[in-house]
Amino acid sequence: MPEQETFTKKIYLSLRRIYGQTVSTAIRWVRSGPALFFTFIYPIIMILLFGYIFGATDDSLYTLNYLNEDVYQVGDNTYAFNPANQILQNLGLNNDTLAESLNLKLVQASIETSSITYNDWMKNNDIPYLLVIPSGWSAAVNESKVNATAPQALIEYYYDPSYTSSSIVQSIIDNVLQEMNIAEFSIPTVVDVVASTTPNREGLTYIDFIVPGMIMVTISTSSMMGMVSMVTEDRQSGKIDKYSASPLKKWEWALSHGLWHTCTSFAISILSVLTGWIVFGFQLSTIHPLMIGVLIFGSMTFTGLALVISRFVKKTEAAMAATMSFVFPQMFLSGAILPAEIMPDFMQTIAKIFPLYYVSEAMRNMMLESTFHLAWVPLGITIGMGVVFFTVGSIITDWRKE
Amino acid sequence: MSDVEDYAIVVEDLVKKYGDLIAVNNLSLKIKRGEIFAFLGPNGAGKTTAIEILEGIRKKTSGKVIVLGKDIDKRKELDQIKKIIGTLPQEFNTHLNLTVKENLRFWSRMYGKNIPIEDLIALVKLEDKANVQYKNLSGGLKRRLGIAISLVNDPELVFLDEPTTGLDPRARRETWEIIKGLKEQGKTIFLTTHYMEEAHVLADNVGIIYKGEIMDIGTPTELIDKHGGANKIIVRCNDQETRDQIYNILFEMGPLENDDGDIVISAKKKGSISKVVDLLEENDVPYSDIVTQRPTLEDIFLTLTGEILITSTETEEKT
Repeated sequence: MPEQETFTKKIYLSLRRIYGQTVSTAIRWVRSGPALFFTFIYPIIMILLFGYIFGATDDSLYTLNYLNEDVYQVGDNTYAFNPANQILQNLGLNNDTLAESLNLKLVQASIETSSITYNDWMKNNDIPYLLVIPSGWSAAVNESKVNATAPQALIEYYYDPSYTSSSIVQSIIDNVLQEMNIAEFSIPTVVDVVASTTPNREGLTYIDFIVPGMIMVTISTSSMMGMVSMVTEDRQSGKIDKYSASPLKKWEWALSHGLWHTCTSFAISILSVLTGWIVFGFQLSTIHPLMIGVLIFGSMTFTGLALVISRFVKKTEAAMAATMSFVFPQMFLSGAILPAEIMPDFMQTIAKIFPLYYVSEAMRNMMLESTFHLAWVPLGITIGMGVVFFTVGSIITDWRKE
Repeated sequence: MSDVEDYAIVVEDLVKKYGDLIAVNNLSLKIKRGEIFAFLGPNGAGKTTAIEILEGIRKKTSGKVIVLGKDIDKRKELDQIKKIIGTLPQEFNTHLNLTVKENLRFWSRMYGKNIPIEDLIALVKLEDKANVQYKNLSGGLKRRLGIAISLVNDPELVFLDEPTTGLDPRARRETWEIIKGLKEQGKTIFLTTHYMEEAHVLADNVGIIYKGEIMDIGTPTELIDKHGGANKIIVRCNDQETRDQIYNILFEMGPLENDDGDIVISAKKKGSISKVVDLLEENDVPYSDIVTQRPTLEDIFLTLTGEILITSTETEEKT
C-alpha cells in the first residue's frame, strides 16, 4: 500500500516530475538537428534575408543604356540650347557624383537600327532598359519654348517589365524630365511635399522593426511546431499512454514544456539581437525587465495554442499541416515582419486577429525607448493570451482514451 | 481471505462500446496476486482495450474494475493505482535520442518510489548498452528496456501489452526469462499475447478472448483437459502410396491427414495406440514413425472459436 503523502512531499514529487520532463526535453533538443536549426539557424537566416531585402542600403547603380539619335548641332543659329545633351547630363553623363546620387550609370548603346529593332537588341544583349532620344527631339523642345501650340517633345523608354528595377529607372527619368520642365519652362512649384518621420518612430529603420518581430516569429514557430510534433509523436509512440498510467499530471507536463520553450525564447532573443547588431548595427536602446514577461507569456501563448491544435488533430502529419497553415499566414499577416500599416484596411483588421501581432508589438515597443509608452496595451493582451491559451490547452488535453 | 487481499485484479461485467461496436462484452475475471495471467486472442479481439481500461487510461462503458484493492472509478484511488502499477504499452517507444540510462532516469523521476537504475539495467541485461541511445538499440533490446521502464517504480502489478510481438525467437525467449524473473520477485503480471506458445510457457492462467468476449479462463492444463479432447496418434510416412495404405487400414478409426501429410487418429478409447501399432505391423506397412501428442492451446482456441491462431513467432514468420 502506498504511504500517505504529506503536502510537502506532494510538492517535492511534483517539482521532481517537472524537472525530469524539462531536463529530458533539453537533452532531446540538444541532440536534435531540426530543433537546433529552428532555434539557432532559422532566426539568423530570416533576419539576414529580410534585413538585406528590405532594410539594407542599396549601393548598386542601375546601368541605363542610351541612344542619342538627335541630329541637333551645337551652334545652331536658331536654338542655342541643346536639350538632348542637357538631359543626358542631368541623368549623370560625365558627372559621377550626380550619377551616383541618382543610382544610375549611363552607357552609350551602339545599335544598328537598320538591321535590328530596339526590342530585339535588348533581348539579344539581355538589356533591361534603354533610353532613346529620337531624331529632332531637341528641336521639338526648343520649338515648345517659343510656340505654345507645338506638339509635346517625347523621348522613348524601352524596358523589360520582368525587371523590378525597370519602374525605378523610369521614375528617375521622369523626375529628371520634370526638373527640366520646371527649369526650362518656368513652371512654378505650387505644391510640394516635405518628408519627416513621425515622433513615435523617429530615427527607426527597418532593422529596428524586423529584429523584435523576427524574435517573436521564431518563438511562435519553434514553440508551436516543436510542441505539436512532440505531442503527436509521443501519442503515436505510446509515451502519452505511459504518462497517463503514471502519477505525472497533465499540468505538470504542460508546465515543463512551457518552461522549456521560455528558456529557448531567451536564447532566440539573444541570438537575434546579436545578429541584428553585428550585421545591420541594430541598437537595443533598453533592456526592460518586462521583456522577460513578453517572452514568458508569449511562449505560453504559443505552447497553449499548440496544445489546442494537438488535442483535435491526432496524427503527426496532419497536426504539422494544421500548425503550418496557422504559423505561416500569421508570420506574414500579423505585421511582425512587414508593418501592418502598409497593408489594406481589412488586412490590418486580420493582423489584429493573430496573437503574434500583440506579442511582437509588445516586444518591439519595449526594445525601443521612443516607443516604450506604446507597449502597455499589447503587453497586457500578451499576458492575457498566455494565461488563457495555456490554461485552456492544458485543460482540454486529454490523455485518457475514449 | 477477501477478494481485495487475495486478488490483484477483479473485473465484473466490464463492457466497452464504440457506438454499435462492442469491443469488450461482459468481461469478468479475477487474477490472483503473484501470478502471470495471459490474455490470449487474435488482433482485434479486445485485449488492448481491456488492458487499457484496467490500467486506467481508457474509459469504460460499464462494469466494475478493482485493481490492487482500489476502484478505478474513484479518482483518488486511481491516482494511487498509478503509483503501484507498471505498464508497457503496445508498440511502446521511449525517447529516441536519450540513452538507456537517461531514459530510465527520466521515467524514474515520474514516480515517487524508485529502484536503482543500475539494478534495472542488470535485470534486463543491458549493462553494455547503458550509454547507447534508444534509437540505436535492436528491437529485442528496446523491448527489454521497455520492460525495465515498466519496473522503475517497483510495481506490485505489471501490465505488458504484447511484450514480444515482432521479436525474433531468441529475443522472445530472452524476454520470457525476464518475465519469469518478475514472477519470482512476487510481482503479478498481466500480459496480452496472440502467441499460444508464449501463453503456454509463461502463464499460470490463460484467458481466451475472442471478439470482445472471454471464451474461457483456466490454467493451460485445465483448458486442454476441458476443451482439448483426446490425445492424437500421428503416423508419419514418406510417400503417398504408403499414406493411402495406412489410411485404408485405419479407416475404421476415422483417420485425418494433417498439413505435413501425416495420418492423425484421435485416441478416444483406451488401447487405441496399441491397436494402431498392431494393425500396421500385421499389414507390414513401411511407416516411418508413430508418435502421440497432447492437445495444445491452439487446439483449444480452434475448438472454442473455430479459428486458427498464430502459435509462435516462427509460425508467424513462415506465414
